[in-house]
Amino acid sequence: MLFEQYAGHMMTICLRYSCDRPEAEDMLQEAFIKIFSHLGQYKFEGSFEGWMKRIVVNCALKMIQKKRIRFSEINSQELTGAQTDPYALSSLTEDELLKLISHLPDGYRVVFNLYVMEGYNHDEIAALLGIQATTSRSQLVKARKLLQKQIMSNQKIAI
Amino acid sequence: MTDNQFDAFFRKKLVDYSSQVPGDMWQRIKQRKDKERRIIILLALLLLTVGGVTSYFVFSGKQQNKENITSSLEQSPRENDHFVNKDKIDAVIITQNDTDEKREINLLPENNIVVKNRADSDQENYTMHQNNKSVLNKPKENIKASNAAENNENGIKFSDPPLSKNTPDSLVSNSSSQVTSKPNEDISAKQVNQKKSLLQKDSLSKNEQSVGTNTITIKEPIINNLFLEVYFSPDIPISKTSSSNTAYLQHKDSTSQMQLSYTAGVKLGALLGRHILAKIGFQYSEINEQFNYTNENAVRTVPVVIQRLLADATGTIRVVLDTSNLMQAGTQYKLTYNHYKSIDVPILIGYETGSDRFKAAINTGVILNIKTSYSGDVLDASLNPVDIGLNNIYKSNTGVSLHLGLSLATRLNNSFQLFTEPYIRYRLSNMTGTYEPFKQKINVGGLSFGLRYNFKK
Repeated sequence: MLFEQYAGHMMTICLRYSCDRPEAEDMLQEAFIKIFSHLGQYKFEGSFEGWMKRIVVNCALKMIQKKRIRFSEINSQELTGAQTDPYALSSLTEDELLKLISHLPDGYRVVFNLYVMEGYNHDEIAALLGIQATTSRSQLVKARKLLQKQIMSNQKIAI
Repeated sequence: MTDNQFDAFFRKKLVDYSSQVPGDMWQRIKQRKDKERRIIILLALLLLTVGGVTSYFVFSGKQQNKENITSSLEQSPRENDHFVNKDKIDAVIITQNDTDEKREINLLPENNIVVKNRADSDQENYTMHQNNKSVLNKPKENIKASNAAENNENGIKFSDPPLSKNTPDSLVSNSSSQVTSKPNEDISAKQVNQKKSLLQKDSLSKNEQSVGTNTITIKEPIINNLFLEVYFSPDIPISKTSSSNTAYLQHKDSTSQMQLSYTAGVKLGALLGRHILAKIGFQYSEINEQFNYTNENAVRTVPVVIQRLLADATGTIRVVLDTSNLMQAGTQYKLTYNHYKSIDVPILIGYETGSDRFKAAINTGVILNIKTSYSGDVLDASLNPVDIGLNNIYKSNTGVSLHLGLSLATRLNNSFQLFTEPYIRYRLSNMTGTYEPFKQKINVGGLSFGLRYNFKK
């Protein structure tokens, strides 16, 4: 069954875009309702999973935009620090990585996901979110730095 | 580690990762889809009804008010339709001159009939063929009606006169023409005038009648008509559940799915004046629900009794029973169909309008619940299925609901009308008891079909 086969992957996407699990579940529910409603519109161009992913991402963006994403500028001086240790990174599980992403501010999280995971470039992200391409770049840089800082601090705690 | 390596790591880890999905997610999705489908169906029904009523009023013309009845006389003797009969039977075509002029009817010896109208220029005369009964029942009537078949046998043939321009259908009946049987007798104008009053009463509109420039106002009775309605309606129930415990609510929603339901009843109604309807009756409704429970971590204890035969020291065989409990873990499934059965008293008022053939009405009012009984299962606070009937979870009297409907009726004959009414029934209070972990209201949208019997023809 369609749901059983793809729900897990789509749930991962929703967890990446949401700030907590209940929100991710709501996103998943909305997305699958849309998928079933528009099943007839799939024109067999590209993979079916890719088509579903696009719907899930669009649903996620709509729900987040309802909350009015703030593209806040965290003081960049706070984010300077040592580069991430590859060993520290490799020890992280997928669930931990998802948690780290969900703890990012909304704007950072959305741009990080669209650029890193979905493969959009900054101009496309800017058009999608109604922001400047420069804002998208700066949000991405800050998202990376915040994630690295978080990983390092978790590593220190673990040690 | 460069930015690209950092990004690549995240991508590699998460792109094909499958996260855990809540067990009830599919049920939630299904419920939402069913809810949306129901809303679409209800909206479509409402749109169809509104569209139908609007189209009717747009295309049927202004045929609502029959107070001023005007018509023009188009009657002229159709001598070519009559043929001479040897028997001397006089034929009278009764005409009604709405200017009240006296009419002279000449009967020719050869039984040809000529109707002379003194006021040739009169524009508002009626020509009609009257029903036997309405003529015969009048004691002072000198005109006897005879059988049309007999007349036909005798060779007298009358064609129905052409309808005058504004002659209502009711004035010209399809019954056979009447023939007087008094031979060689002039019928006085006086008797013709007597006839007029009979004809007016029998044939013209029951409301105001205007004859030429004179207006006769008949005072209407308060209760214009009494009727009895019998109806049946397939219903779509819409459940609204709330709870302070979100986990409970989530589980409750996942186990419940409303099913197609129905209502049947009978109402006694009255038409007050020309437009106002009042109805009261009894109805039985049944709301159906599917309860689908799955517990993946169910544990049940099964007592196991082992019987053994042992020989004691003396060699006697004795039966020894060993009782133990076996714990079994597995998935528990439970599928039950819940039924909520109600007996209600609907008290409705409505506003009706339309023509003699088609009527539309807006009905609103209250539905008073007399008693409701329940059967089936529901989740308790511990998320276990329990019997509704045994645990008094729901109230036996669910109070008052509001009804709003739009009915369309068509006349089948003088006594019967066929009607349909899409409606909404909105419950004002919760169905569950005060101390239950959830509150529930079940509202209903339906489309009733019924038959109305008018006591007054």
